[in-house]
Amino acid sequence: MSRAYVVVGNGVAGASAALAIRSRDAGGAVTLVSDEGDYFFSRTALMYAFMNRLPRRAMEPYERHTWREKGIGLVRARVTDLDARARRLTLDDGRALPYDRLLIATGSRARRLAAPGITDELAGLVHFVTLQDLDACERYTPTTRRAVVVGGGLIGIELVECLRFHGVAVTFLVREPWYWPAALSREEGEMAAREMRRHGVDVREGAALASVARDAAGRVSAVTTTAGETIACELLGVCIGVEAQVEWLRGVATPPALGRGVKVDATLRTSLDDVWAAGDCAELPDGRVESIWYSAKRQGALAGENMSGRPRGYAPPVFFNSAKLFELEYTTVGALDEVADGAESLYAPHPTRALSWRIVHAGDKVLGFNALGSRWDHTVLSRWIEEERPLAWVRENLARAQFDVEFGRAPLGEMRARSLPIERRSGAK
Amino acid sequence: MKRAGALQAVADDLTSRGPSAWLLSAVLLGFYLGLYLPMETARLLTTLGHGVWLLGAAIAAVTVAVHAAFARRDGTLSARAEAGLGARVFALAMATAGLSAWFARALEPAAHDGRHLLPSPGVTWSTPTLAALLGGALALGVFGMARVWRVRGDRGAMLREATWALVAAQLAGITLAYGTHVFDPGRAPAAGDHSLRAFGALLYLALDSKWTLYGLLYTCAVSAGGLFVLGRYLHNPYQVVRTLVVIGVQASFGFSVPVLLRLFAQPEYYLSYFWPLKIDAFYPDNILRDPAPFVLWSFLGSLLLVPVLGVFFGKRWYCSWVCGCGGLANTAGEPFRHLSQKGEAAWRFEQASIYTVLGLAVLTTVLVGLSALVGPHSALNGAWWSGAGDVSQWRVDGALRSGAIVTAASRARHYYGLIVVAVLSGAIGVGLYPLGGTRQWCRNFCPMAALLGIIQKVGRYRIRVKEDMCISCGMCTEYCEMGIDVRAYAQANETFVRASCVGCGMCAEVCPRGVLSLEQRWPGAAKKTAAASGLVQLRLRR
Repeated sequence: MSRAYVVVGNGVAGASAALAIRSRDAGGAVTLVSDEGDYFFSRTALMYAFMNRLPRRAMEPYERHTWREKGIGLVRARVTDLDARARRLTLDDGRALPYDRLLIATGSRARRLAAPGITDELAGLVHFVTLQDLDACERYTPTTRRAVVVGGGLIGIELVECLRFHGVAVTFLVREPWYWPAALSREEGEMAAREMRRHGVDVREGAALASVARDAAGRVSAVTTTAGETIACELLGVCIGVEAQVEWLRGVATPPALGRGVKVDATLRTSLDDVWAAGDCAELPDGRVESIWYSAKRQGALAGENMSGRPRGYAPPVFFNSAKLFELEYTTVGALDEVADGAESLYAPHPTRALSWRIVHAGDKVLGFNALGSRWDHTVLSRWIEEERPLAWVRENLARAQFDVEFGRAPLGEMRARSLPIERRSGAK
Repeated sequence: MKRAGALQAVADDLTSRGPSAWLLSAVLLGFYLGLYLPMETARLLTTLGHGVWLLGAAIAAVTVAVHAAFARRDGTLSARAEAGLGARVFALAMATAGLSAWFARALEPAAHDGRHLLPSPGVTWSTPTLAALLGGALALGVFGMARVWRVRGDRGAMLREATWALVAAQLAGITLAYGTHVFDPGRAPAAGDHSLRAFGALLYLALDSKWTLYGLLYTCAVSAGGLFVLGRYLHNPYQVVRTLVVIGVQASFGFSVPVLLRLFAQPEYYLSYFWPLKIDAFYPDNILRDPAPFVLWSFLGSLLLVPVLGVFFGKRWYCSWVCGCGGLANTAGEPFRHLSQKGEAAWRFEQASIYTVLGLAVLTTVLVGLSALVGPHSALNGAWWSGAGDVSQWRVDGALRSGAIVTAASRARHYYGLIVVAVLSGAIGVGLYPLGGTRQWCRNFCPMAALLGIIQKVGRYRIRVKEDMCISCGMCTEYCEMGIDVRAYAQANETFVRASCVGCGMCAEVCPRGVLSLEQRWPGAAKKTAAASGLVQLRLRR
């Protein structure tokens, strides 16, 4: 008797789960349900599609025939009801979809901004998380002269870069005293801001949005900042983070236990029998909701394995991430922000170039690593943190973790290190 | 949807298989066919030029209509803006067609044998033509300098914009050399005259054959495109060094050195090409004809240098640092690199075709070599395509001993030259840039690439994938000119080497997470794979 697996959500968590299930259970029926798009696509590629550097189809990590060949059914629908007693989903077209094992991987949605003048119907208001957000951005851009982007993280700078690419004048409102304090020190945030200004972005640190005005057609016409300044604009981008997409579960026949996301145990099982959750919508036992690509991929694959085999616990490795802030490379490994008192930074900027590394350490113990302007092998740095290599040793061997292109090694010898205190952000969560 | 200037609109159309891309491809195909078909070059090209002009006008008109219709339907773009785009495409079509007609005139075969100086320039243009061309060059130069001035302070942008001025200078130079007597020495220097006066005739000498003009245009394209590439990737030292070497090799070994050799009454020898790409390097008649040092260089290069460097550095040392085909692809072809076919079907075709051509190259070489051993070679007259004009002068007196082999060798040599060299490497290889990406020849047909690919698979070169860092965005795959699905390896944490990879380094450049790196390492010295890491490897294929 073959099992019926249903995965709700075809983002990286859902797709990884479906493939993991298939690799363990060759005979089961696997169905991926999504109302966002027909095929799994890379959400992180949205910005490249917006900048015309990728056609939309190229965002799909697997060729379309893969799903057919793997026997993974794709259903384009929104799930409206979950009945765990009857083991059945109801879709928005009225169909019932029975399951034996269910994975909830509905990901996250852009956090909405509450301010006077902002309503759901406001034309010219965009987020930058879903395919539909991309549609909206592409629709509004040709008629936009100036845009205001509210944010201060990765998605914000991505949207800003895309708009600059299209020749739109952009004002970037960063509420915090410097750009992205959750990941960057003040010096690093200022380096990123310089990079943005080099590309013509009007970066305003310590500025938030107070209210929004609209024109007769219902489109954004201006925003007013907390500093009292009014900026005329035709597009307002809101990139203030994401939140688990679990609202749809509140009204279903048998809702799972919900917190900030769907509560799961260490094996990613929810409070309902035979229902798992993974990715951005899952709230881990310690209350964390991990909302980055790598966690979603890891959790999705683990959930898929646990649904089709002997369950294992979720044990994420040392944290790492990387990005490109306009042309500025960024790599981070370990803990930089949430560290105990007594930790400090060793910061080494290049005297002339946009290039730096920073090691966060408590005494001799290396906790984390941040680098801007050059490429690093996070696997080496993670290993050093796991092996508890002493600070002096790490400094001496730093070059071994470099990952720059040939002829392009960052000149570590020209970068003088100095100690910095860990500066706590005021009022940030 | 994009708000951008007129140039950007045309560039977008050109690099996304828009109407102007089809037009450009038609012009390039016509150019190559005209180049390789010797008898009726001018007539053919002029006819093609007219045809292309009409085609361009038709395509542009349809574009205007379709775009205007879409603009009305969507309401997101003003019909005026869209009609403007159509008009720009139309203008481009006119300009391209004009250029192709100019090529046709320039390539008109003058009465010469391709080896000696001409008593007078092959083509002289009328005053209005000259005025239009020189005026155009001047305007383009002023326009280019103005663009450079506008972005002063940003070195990369300045280099990119300097491309316009360089193209203008080249256009002016070629016009003066071909259409006027400016560089005309007045008379041909006597044989063996190596005086300065003979050097004054250098350009004149160089431009007497269509092949040299082709070489000049090719070098201009590589240098102008190279400048653009330098401007675009100034932040990436690998791309900077590689592009400088590519331009340098093309300007020297790919153009100046052969021209200088001819000036000194030596064979026009291209030292940067080896067997099997330069298949005639191993033809016995050429071996006997050419001076010993050149022959030695070809043999050592083909049999020793190529495989040894291939083992140590993969095929990139040749395919994306030295070779002229790769040089053009990575400079002038840069805007088209993403158009390569990515699917598995394209991969299967590539594997089938490239090793077939390698087999044909080996077979042809063996047959021709064998025929030299067994018979006379008066029949070997099929080398018109090689550019030298009369390479098969070598004759062996003696009885016809093995007619079948000689005939087969002659046919093989002729058809290999026609199909592989003329059609596949020239017409298809470059003519399809705007439609199928830049490395059609290198990927699907080049026997040298096939051979180097086999060596690369057992050598040290590989693309290292940083574990678990891939976000599957697909930029690496999209910008791989060889159509390798790099993402399939990167998202599976698989350090890999593919026979077709030419090591251009663009996957590493465009990766937003710095996941990829080109490296040389013996397979045994590779780091442990990702098996121990937390991430499940979803290895779907490959």
